[in-house]
Amino acid sequence: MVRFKHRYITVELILPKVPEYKPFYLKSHILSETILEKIQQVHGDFGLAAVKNGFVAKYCNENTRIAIIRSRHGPHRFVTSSLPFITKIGKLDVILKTLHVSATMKHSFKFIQKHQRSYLDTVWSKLRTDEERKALEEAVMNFTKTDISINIERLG
Amino acid sequence: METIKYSGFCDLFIDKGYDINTLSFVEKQGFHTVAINSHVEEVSDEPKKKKKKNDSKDKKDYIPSPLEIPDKVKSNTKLKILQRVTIEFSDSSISKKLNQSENLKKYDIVAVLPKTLQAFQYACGTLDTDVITFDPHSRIPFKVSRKLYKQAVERGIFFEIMYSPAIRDSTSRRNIITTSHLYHAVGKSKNIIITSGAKDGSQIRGIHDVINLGFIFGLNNNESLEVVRDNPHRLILKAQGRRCGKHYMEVSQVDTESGNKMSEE
Repeated sequence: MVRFKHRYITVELILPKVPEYKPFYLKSHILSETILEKIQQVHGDFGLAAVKNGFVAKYCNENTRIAIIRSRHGPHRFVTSSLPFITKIGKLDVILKTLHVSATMKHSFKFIQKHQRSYLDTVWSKLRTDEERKALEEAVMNFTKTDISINIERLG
Repeated sequence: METIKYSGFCDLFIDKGYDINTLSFVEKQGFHTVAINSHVEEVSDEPKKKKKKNDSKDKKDYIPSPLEIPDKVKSNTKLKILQRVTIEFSDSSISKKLNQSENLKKYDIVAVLPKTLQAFQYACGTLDTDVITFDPHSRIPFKVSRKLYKQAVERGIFFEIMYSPAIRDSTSRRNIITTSHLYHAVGKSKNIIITSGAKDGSQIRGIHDVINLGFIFGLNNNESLEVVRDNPHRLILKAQGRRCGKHYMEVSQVDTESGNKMSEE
């Protein structure tokens, strides 16, 4: 049997106009709509139709602004190539930076965990009390709490 | 002469208008070498009478001097900053102007923007340049022939594709994609470099994104990586060779994995 292959694209949202160390809230479906709109613009009907099957975008952490995009293997190149053209989400200026592309969710998570750790290292030095640090660590490392696995299964 | 230092991923076209103080952002996006570009527009020749009146000493250099980069900025970043000039031209009379120009020698990389077929032929065949670029606001007004492209590749000239105008508006995007596919059809996308051409930070993309953009420009995975790393390295080495004259060899101590660097014209 042939596996149903996917690609998991980890992206970071860079927001030049929002202060860096504040949580930024965003609904996942807004992100997903923005990306699909851009694919329609860049690759047309064919691109959109190819991508739509099995496409899920999930915004998972407010602190580090990490999102995961899942796409079928093959058409994922339509997704990755249209990400650089995204300049706005709603009315907000945004840059999407691809951090990692992997074939399994496990590796994707491993990468994110590493990424979050390095983020913590930079931010911790700015905090004073241990309690604040603990709270932040919880907030940052809890990217799984957004129930990606559950949601992806349900949507897919 | 100082040797040009370079490493890692390169973005060889950042506009002069870009705020120098925010170069750290470029570094964050994963680049190691950047080039600041000054654009020289083509000016129609002044009437001859006027020229005679002016003293030759008074005559302004055709090419402006490069942007000064404060030492403070240099010491703050790990980026290697190069200077690049882009010259528009439409016929071969340009070479006289370039020969006279003193400022031209201050630049590390010389790029040209041919506006006519004649200019393009001249650029591919004889002009001593490193990069041939195009104007994303209009389609290339001439046909790129396989012969000329091959000739340029043999002489080590690179063709440039910039992506930030594509992010800005849709017509530029179409023109850039058309041109890049043309290069693919004519010359199998040999000797291509992808640069940003960014005017501010919001137009610069991460290194992974630039590589992914290669898909749109008709490159395969391998080529996409080459256009931001290996090709610019070759380009910089070639540019260095051009400035040194016919033969030049540089032997440096083997310190790390970089090894010996050799360049021959």
